[in-house]
Amino acid sequence: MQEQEQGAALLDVRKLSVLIKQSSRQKVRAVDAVSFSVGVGETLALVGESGAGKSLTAMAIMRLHKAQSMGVEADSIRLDGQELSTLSDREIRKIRGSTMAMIFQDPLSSLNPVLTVERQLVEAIRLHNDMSAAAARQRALELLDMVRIPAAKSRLGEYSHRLSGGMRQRVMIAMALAGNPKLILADEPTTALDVTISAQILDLLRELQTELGVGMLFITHDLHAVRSIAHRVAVMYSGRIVETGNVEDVFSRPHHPYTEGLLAARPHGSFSLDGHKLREIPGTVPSPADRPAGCAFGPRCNRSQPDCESQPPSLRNETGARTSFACYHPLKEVPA
Amino acid sequence: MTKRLEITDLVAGHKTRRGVVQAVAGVNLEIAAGETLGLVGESGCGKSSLARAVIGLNTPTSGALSINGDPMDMRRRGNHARDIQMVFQDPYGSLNPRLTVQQLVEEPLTVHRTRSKAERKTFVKALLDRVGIPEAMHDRLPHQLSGGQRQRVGIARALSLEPKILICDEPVSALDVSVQAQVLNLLVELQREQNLSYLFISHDLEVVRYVSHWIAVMYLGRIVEIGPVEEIWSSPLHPYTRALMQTTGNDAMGEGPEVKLNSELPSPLSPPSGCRFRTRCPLAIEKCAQEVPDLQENGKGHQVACHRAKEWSATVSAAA
Ligand SMILES: Nc1ncnc2c1ncn2[C@@H]1O[C@H](COP(=O)(O)OP(=O)(O)O)[C@@H](O)[C@H]1O
Ligand SMILES: Nc1ncnc2c1ncn2[C@@H]1O[C@H](COP(=O)(O)OP(=O)(O)O)[C@@H](O)[C@H]1O
Ligand code: SF4
Ligand code: SF4
Ligand SMILES: [Mg+2]
Ligand SMILES: [Mg+2]
Repeated sequence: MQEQEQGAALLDVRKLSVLIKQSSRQKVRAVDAVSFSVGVGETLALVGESGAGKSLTAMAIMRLHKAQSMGVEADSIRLDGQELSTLSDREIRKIRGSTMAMIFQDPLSSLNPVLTVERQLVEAIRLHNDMSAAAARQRALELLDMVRIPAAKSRLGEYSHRLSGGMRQRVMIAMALAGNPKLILADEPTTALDVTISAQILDLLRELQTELGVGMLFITHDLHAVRSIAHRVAVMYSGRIVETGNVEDVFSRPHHPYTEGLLAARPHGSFSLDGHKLREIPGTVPSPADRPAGCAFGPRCNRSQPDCESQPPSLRNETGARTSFACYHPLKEVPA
Repeated sequence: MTKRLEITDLVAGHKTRRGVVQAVAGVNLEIAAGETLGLVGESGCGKSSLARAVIGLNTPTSGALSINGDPMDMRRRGNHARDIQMVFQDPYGSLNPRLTVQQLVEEPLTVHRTRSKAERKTFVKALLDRVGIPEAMHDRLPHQLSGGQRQRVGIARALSLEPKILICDEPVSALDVSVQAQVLNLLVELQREQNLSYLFISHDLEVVRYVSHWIAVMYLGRIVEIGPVEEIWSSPLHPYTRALMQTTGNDAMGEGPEVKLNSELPSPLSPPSGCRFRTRCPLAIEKCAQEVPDLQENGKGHQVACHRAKEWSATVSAAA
């Protein structure tokens, strides 16, 4: 059993694109042919600055994107051996909340304000499990214990808006666990929280992930969070994955100039003591409609050359490199 | 030496339906000319309330402020009003959406009737140029700018009256990492050029470490630890500071208690007796519920308000 689990892809996404209608004629590719996989019991972090296309990627997998204004294209989206891209909306609804579940940044917008914590949990549990009301109530309590809510019993009758941000996020996680998912998609679940609370939620997610052996797609713009929770990371820039690999490899030996720039832009040390300036990445992220031809990072890149403007570089694995990257002139491995 | 800004026994509150929240419960701080005091703490601990009381947006309940040793009337600030200006977290919410970039930066000058009209125009142009807003953008409205550009305009506006002190309340928190670096670099450069003093508020400890000369840690309205930046970074003494530092993965903080927080900030409407941190402190003893710990000097200006800090101050500092 254990052997089979190791390395088996739980989620495998091939060339997923999200197209947004701008007008009757124009569409922009907000997500442009991304491919990645999440193994059983593994956490993949999708990291990037705002507008990179992280949320749309998750929404497209869950089929929660706005269907009137957006289209999704994919060669394949396989979850636990099942092809999702060809399923009907009805079939997807059955999988959503059971095999895969999502946790959002703002739990208030996804929790129902007029229902108690217990009612919402019981509904979610019974939707995905054949259970009596009494058994579901018992299970609701178990779930609250599982997400380490102190005095869980006394919280059952509370309304979500009465809970603190951290407690709400725990309830949200309990809701996501109600259908016994194999894959959890977490979209910036700690971004709105204080560092102290965020650390607690990250600990909880990490523990639950190991305990339950679920796979997790963890979306964030916070490099700290990536380090503390993920096994592998995919760095997104302007709708594309520009570098991917084990967290340790990507963080210590980045090959893509954007990854390297992002890591170097974070403060480390004290200006008042040593006077060092932070590395800037000039300019801003282009909107999908203004994405330059060729490499989207080109205008901000300090290594760019004329050939970067020809075609978008595709993600490749160079011999000797530990990460895969999409760049014509990557940073070389620094000899030890 | 006289300090550029001195805050003495500052108390400030908010009236709510459920009673008065004493958001700032007796704070003493000082900032030297050309230096930055970084203020950290969880949201709700009173950082913005402190900032707003200092800038005069809220009237403090009690306390005193002085600039260069000159006491300032809290209610009628007169000449001192210009000396302290503020940079906000959300430049979008703080900039009038109907004014152009050029008008936004000129407005404070017009209000204070500083300089002739022609001089104002030249001055504003030079200032916008300095903060990195190209001339082509001077006639744009705030919504036509990126977040980083809006924050640059916010900084230019705050600098237009040539203040001595800038209060920066989470100035880079709403920005993407790559843009944060641009704005932080700008702020430290401006400080050196104009010998500005900053009160710099952020929940991001590494950002605060980068910009600050001194760091103060706030908990439920009180300063629980303060000291020179590397002292606080490498030898944090207060259990709360140690817990905060742990979240950054700082592993250079000396041999002392490992504190992990597993609860949230209690209601500021009824703060715990004695040490306000005691309900979350794994090291609390009986005394902590009975006596309020005062800030105690621990050498090099490093002060900590904890009854037990002496027990580990030697081992913590030994490593540094
Ligand atoms: N509902 C929408 N309508 C139009 N554009 C959208 C919508 N949602 C997202 N976008 C655009 O798609 C791009 C990617 O968005 P998103 O996936 O939300 O980014 P991220 O989560 O990485 O911040 C952005 O440029 C954004 O402006
Ligand atoms: N205008 C206000 N009215 C009532 N309470 C307020 C107001 N502003 C802040 N508070 C309360 O004062 C306390 C401190 O808030 P604040 O100064 O904003 O903290 P911080 O900036 O550290 O997050 C909190 O409990 C907050 O709820
Ligand atoms: S392909 Fe060229 S422009 Fe793009 S990241 Fe690599 S070097 Fe820079
Ligand atoms: S005074 Fe007591 S409760 Fe407060 S921080 Fe120190 S040990 Fe903890
Ligand atoms: Mg998003
Ligand atoms: Mg605040």
